[in-house]
Amino acid sequence: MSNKKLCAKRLVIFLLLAFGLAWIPWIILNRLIGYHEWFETSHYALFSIPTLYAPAIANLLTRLITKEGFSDLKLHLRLKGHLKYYLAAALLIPLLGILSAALNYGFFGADSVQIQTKLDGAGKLAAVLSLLITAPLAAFNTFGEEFGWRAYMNQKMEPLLGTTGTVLAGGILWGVWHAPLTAAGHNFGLDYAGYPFTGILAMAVICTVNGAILMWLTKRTDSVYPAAIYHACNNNGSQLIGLILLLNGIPEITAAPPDPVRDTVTMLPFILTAGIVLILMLRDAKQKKTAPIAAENQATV
Amino acid sequence: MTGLLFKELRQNRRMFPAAILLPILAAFLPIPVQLSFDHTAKDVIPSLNEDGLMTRLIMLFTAAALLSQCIRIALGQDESKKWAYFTISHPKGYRAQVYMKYVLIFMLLGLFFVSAYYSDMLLQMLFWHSTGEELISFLNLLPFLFFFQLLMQAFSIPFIFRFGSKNGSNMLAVFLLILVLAAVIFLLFGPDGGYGALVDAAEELLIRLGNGELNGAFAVIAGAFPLAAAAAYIGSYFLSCRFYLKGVAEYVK
Repeated sequence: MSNKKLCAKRLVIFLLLAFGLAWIPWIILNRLIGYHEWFETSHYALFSIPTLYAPAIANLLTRLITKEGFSDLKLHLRLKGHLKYYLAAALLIPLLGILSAALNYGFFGADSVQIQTKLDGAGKLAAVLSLLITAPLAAFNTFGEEFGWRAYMNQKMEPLLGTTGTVLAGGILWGVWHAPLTAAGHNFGLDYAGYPFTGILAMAVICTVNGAILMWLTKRTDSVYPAAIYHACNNNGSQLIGLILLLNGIPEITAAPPDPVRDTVTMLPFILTAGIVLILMLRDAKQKKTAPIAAENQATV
Repeated sequence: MTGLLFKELRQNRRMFPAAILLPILAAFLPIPVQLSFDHTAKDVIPSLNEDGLMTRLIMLFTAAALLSQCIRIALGQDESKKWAYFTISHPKGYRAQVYMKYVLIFMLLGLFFVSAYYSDMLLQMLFWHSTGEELISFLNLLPFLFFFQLLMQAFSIPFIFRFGSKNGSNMLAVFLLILVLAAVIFLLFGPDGGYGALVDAAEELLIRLGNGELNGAFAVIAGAFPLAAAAAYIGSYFLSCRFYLKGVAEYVK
């Protein structure tokens, strides 16, 4: 079997497992207990995190089923020379969040965001510090997804679809994977035009944008941890730091319905960053391709 | 480096189940403990939110203290001159050996944290099913416990590297005792009224805390604490590297 065919086979098995292991329990729990009860309260919190580990389990099972072995798991920390990427993973979301908040503030005004609690100077500093510090610790929640999507799916997809194809297809698949939760109102609530399809589409776009940054972090460090930290910062609400600083208060966090204009404007810093890292990844790929040819030419000279 | 990590994982393989089991025991042992405190089988679960809260807290901190003992054992396993000289001649040097000890301890503390997190969630689910009420959760406390453990280790590991696992504990105790004695002497004979002034200041601090005047400052300290603990842990590694060779000279075998 050729290398590409083998990659395709492994990718299909991985996707079947990643989707099946997450969707089956989600759909059952949504039906039996109700999404709000099992995902948003502490009553069944024990179920919510393990199901998010489905991609990680799919990674290990696929390796076992296809006898691929367990090399290149991307589990090494690789701190030496890569500390800047770890820092980027922890600080990108807050920094992009500040730009995003400034755009939101500039275009739609302060009234577009509801303030939950007013904060004084010390309160603001405390809120920002606690968001910054606890996010990396919450990375054990997001490690499961990153160990599947970035450490395995991207590796198998890139030889088949190229870097741009992997960013697009990988992001869409990752977004669609959230569909049972999105349809249950996790991301945008239940009351919006085109429910639930526009919600799933919006999620696919968000995942594609963030997926590019996550893929870049993983490729640059050859480790899954920076991606897990970035993902944890995203889930932990680190992007709210900008709003906290601008509005002097903790913004109300509700599952707002997707709004193409507002979402595009507020996501602009993330989209631009995704574009930049995609260019960087394409440049790296080009350099990798030309490096052996250049070495060969030099040898013949 | 991978070889050294593998060695640490293999050598301390029994520590990992301990780091996982200790928080599970800490979460569920309060049930039989509460049963022994005049509670019936019927009201033992509801009691976890009342007087059982303190039992849960004590159990959690006891488990954390036991893990510290496990870590001390793990640190003392390589105290042999032959091994130390081998690591010094190793291409990565003794720094890699020290680094892997820090990685191992971080892994053990991380496992403890994750296990405590899941144990608390399991207990919450059982409590809600039995009583229909919410259990007072420790989920917000656990990150602080993690960083507190990190800070404690950051403080004690250099002592162990400098004086060995046995003497290191004694030296740490002596060091703390000297600190306490110095503080007592300062309070008794120091300027500005000594002990009485401290009591007054503490009283004022408590009153201001009670009035909510220091909420902001307290929140900033709480927010900055994890950062300080992480920085102390990293700084502690460099300190241990400096002490390692001096410590080796004092190994018995």
